[in-house]
Amino acid sequence: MKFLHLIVTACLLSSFNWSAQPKKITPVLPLASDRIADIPLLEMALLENISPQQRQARAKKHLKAIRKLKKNLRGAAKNDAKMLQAELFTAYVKLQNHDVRALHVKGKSKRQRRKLHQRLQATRKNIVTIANKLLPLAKSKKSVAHLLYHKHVARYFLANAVDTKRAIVQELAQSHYHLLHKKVRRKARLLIVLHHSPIQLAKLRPYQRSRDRNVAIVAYLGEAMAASSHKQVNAALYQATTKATALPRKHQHELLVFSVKLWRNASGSKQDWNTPPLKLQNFRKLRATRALIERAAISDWYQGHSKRAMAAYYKLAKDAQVKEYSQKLYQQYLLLAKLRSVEARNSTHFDDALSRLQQDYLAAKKKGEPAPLGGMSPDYLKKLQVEFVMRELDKAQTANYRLQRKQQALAIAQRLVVSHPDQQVPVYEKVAATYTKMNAHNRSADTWMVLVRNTPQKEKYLQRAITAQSTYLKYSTKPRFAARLAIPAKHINDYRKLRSMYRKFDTLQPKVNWDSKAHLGLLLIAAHKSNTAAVLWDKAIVANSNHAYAKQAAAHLLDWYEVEQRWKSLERISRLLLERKVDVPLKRGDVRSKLAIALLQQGIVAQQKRQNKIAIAKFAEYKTFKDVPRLDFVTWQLTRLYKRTEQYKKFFATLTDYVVNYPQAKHIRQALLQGGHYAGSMAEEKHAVYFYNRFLQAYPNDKSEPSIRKKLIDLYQAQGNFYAAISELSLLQKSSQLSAAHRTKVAMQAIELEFRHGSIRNATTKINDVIAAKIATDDDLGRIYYYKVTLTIGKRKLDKITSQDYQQLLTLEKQITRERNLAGRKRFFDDALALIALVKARRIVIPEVDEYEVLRSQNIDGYLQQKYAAFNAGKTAYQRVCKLNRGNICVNALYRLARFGEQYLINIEKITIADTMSGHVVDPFMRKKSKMLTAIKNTIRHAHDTSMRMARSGKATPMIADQVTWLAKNALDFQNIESSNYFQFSK
Amino acid sequence: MKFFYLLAIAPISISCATLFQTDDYRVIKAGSSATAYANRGSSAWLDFSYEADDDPINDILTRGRWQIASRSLKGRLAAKPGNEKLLTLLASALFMEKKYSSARFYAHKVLRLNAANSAAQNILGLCTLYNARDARDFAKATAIFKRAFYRSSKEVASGLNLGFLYLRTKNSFFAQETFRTVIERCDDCQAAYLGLGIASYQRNKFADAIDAFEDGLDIGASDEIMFHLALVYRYGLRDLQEARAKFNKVALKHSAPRYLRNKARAEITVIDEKQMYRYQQKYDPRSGDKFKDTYIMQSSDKNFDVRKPRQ
Repeated sequence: MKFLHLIVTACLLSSFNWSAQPKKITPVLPLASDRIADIPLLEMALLENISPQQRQARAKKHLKAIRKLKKNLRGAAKNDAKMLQAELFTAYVKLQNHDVRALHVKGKSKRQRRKLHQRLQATRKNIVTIANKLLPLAKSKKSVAHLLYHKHVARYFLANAVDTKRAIVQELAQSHYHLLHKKVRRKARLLIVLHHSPIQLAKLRPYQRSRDRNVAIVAYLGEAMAASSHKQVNAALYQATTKATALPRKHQHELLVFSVKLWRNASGSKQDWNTPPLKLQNFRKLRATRALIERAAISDWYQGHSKRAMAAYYKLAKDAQVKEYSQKLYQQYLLLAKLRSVEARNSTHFDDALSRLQQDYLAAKKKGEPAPLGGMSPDYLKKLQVEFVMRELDKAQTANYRLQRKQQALAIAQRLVVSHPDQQVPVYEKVAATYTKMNAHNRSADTWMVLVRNTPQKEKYLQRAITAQSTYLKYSTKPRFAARLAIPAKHINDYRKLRSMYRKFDTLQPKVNWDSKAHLGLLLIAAHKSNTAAVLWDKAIVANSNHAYAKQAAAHLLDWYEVEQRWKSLERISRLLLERKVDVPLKRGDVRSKLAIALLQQGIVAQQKRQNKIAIAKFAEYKTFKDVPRLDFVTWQLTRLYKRTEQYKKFFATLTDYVVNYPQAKHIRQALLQGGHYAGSMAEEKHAVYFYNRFLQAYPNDKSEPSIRKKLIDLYQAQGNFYAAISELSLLQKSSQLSAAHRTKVAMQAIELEFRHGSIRNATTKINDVIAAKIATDDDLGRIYYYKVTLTIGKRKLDKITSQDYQQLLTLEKQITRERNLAGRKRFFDDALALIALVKARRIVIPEVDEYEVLRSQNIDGYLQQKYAAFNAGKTAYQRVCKLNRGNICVNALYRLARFGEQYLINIEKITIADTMSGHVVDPFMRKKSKMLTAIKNTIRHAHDTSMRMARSGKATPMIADQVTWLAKNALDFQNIESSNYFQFSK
Repeated sequence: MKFFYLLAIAPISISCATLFQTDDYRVIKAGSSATAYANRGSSAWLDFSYEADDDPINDILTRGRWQIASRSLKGRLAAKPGNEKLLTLLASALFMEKKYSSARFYAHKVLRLNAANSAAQNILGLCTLYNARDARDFAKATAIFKRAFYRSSKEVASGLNLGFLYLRTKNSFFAQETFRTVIERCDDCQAAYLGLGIASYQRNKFADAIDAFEDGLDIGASDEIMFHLALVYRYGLRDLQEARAKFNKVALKHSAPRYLRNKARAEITVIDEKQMYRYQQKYDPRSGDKFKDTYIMQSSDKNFDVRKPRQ
């Protein structure tokens, strides 16, 4: 079926030629019928009038009777047979009447009608046969007439040819029909009148007034057939059709067709299908009526009433019962619509027609009607519509097509798509192309976007849409990163559309497509949606950063991040670009510099938030960039952070770096001070010295200069670098921030250091300077003189001082004595004088006692006295020391006095006289000597004990103390004890 | 020679680990550290305070690797600048390195941080005592040691230093008192018993001296104490037999310092000759001169008799 349907559709399509304009519109519905050879209703009119009971009798009853008669007839006698034949004849006539009526009654199927018709024909043949058999047996003329009437009528309706019929009617006319029953005779006469040539109109008048409707109609038809003018014909026909109110359909049809035939024959070229002389109201729903209406419609068409014609056609087609006609009518309707479209220069007519038909189809389908539109395929309609629309759109793309038609084409295309969404793609493609031709690029873009929404080929259409929209907006298809796009107010929405197109296109890409990404980003930026653009580009750069647009986008992104202070993102992206070695065309700087900025700013922020770990990480990385600005600042912040987090090693290293590499930095003073302080605390003496030295070089007049210099001196001393310590002391001495007293103290310290570790000349110079300045206190001056004396003595032993130095000491003694007398505090002056006194005492030479000299001596007593006096002089000299000093010098002097006494003890022991001399001489001498020896021993013991006591109390220097205490032999010699390997470990 | 000898005994000394210990402190004998004061002719006691017993610095110090110790401590100080304990340890290590100026500098630094740090004061006192380049001052050192020793009731090291300084300056009474105080604080300190013994001997209290030495020996074997005990018997009580037995113990002990063994042998020789002389005197008077001369040569003093102890 489907195949057949396709074939039919193909045939129809081929018949529907668009290009060829039909010259004449031929009606679809046939009007003339060959079968209607006879006058309509004649058969009915000729029926015998029968009772209502007979009319209602069924065919079965007649057939049963006929069968019974036939059966009886077989074995019947001659007379009986004659009677039975007559009865059979009557039965057949009755059956004929019944069948004729039955054939004209509504509600019969074709098959039933055919059967009935066959039976009717057979019945008529039987009537003719039996009539022929009975005619020779007929006794009366009346019977003969009756038989002949029925025989001729049967023959009349069995015959086909008009001439044969006419001959039969002549035979009837020649028979004794006037012997027939009145009612039957009338009928026979009507038949004869109708077949009289020419027909006698006057004879038909009575029949026209007959109560029998059929007879009346037949009579009027006869009049129409016989009338000479067309007006008379028209009038007769009108009368005939007026009476056909309740006729069966078949009779109506026959009547109408016959009437139209007569009318057309009579009217010739004057006929107007719009005004037929027929009472058409009585022929509703008749095929012929419809044919008439069609013809009227065609007439209308030619008269310019195209709308009315189409409406009529539409109604005809819709009401058509026959499928074939219905389809043809619809086609005719469409043809008219098409012609109307072409002629009226309005494309919508045809489209309207098609739509209407389609709607009807759908409605019918919904109702469940079989084969709507006369079995016309909706596909066919669709095809027509599509073809039409396509053609119109093709035309619309030409330049010389009218704008209105173009718009109509677009409109019908739109409608087509609405009614047939499956045709959207081809239609919209054309529509979009049309819009493009019409320079309506925005609409073109919209159309493409519809396709994008509704088709799987989104990418293809999106590209077209983008191109169209770009053309409309004069937007470059090549992304322009150089300048920000300025969107006019009126195009805001259009740009939004373009953006959404790019976004959709972008989402369709399986991989990163930088063509779309770049545009999308730029459009977003133009629409003040830089955030979104940044997110987009950011992700895209992560995925693919080697594209040329990616590089430009990266440059833009980096700048934007910087402006927006999105440091984390800036860091991430610049790090990524660096890692991938992407060459980014930045306006200023390079990616490394961007990364550096990000790190720096993050570090600053983290530091402000006290996120020390993060801040350190950022700053530390920033510092790895050697060619970036603010390294000094970062270094300084790092030092602060390290200090804050107690990472002192790093802190110190960074601080050193800061100080070494950024000598002109802002916080260099603080850095140097901190460096010195922490280096000291870390036991990094050299570093501390470096920092303090740098500080002093950079800030010689700083308020903390003296304290720093003091610290530096301490450090030098700790290192054993006394030379440096002394030179720093000299500088400290010159510091303007120190008071006079302080300066003296410093000078004293310098002198002491020089004295211990430096050069004697320098010490002397310094001493002279202090003395000359006359600002020293009494104690300091005393000390200075002490140092001077010490320096004069030098490192020599006290008893080995040169005479020149000794003279100097004597001069110095006078000077010191003078100053001592002027000074309030005399302690240190005394020390100096004590030292000189000790030197003086040490210079006393102890002469050896020669035994020969003793023997030679005349005055041995005097000799003894002389020696004892020398001892006393020495003793006085040593004791003078202890008068001036009760400390180390005194201990030394006492120790020396003891040694001095020992020498004199031996010497005086040696002074003897011979025992042989007189007792007067010997005894006093011995007594004197013994007295002297006792005195010397006492002196020695006293000196020894005193010195020991003083040494024990720690008044002596260790050297002297050791000398003194070494003599105390009563002690165990613990000094060599090596039990010293003990350490206390406190818990 | 002494230096190498001390190095040789170092492992033995270390092996003895904790020498004496109380609730408050422990005193450890560290042999090789003797390099620091071997030439000094006196003892130096230092106070090391640590956070934990298992600190590796313990081992470094115990082995006497002072340079390593100071370097390690400087490294630690870089991480903890101004840490009092580390600075104190550093000062101690520097002192043992004979870097007295530096040691004093850091001791001062510590005292600026905490004036009550007795260990630092002890180092300061030792520096005052030992730094040849500065003015060494017994009085000042004594004052510092005193301050350190009497400020804290647990302090021992400065007490020992003070005691031996008293002994050095022949202040045997104060030495005795000081050592007694030390023993009160640390009854396991052999050095304190040694010092107490010496001080008692100097004051001619031989019984006390013997008691002190024997108390010291009760704690553990000590060649020095044994030697000094012998000296008390020899020169104080004149008990030659007992003295010889004690000297013999030192002389025959291989682990004893060589100089002590030599001294002990010398003393034994003299005692033997003296006994031989007495024997000769008793059984063969004619040969007395010869022995007498020998005796005089070896034992008598030619110097003035003021040096002899007063009986």
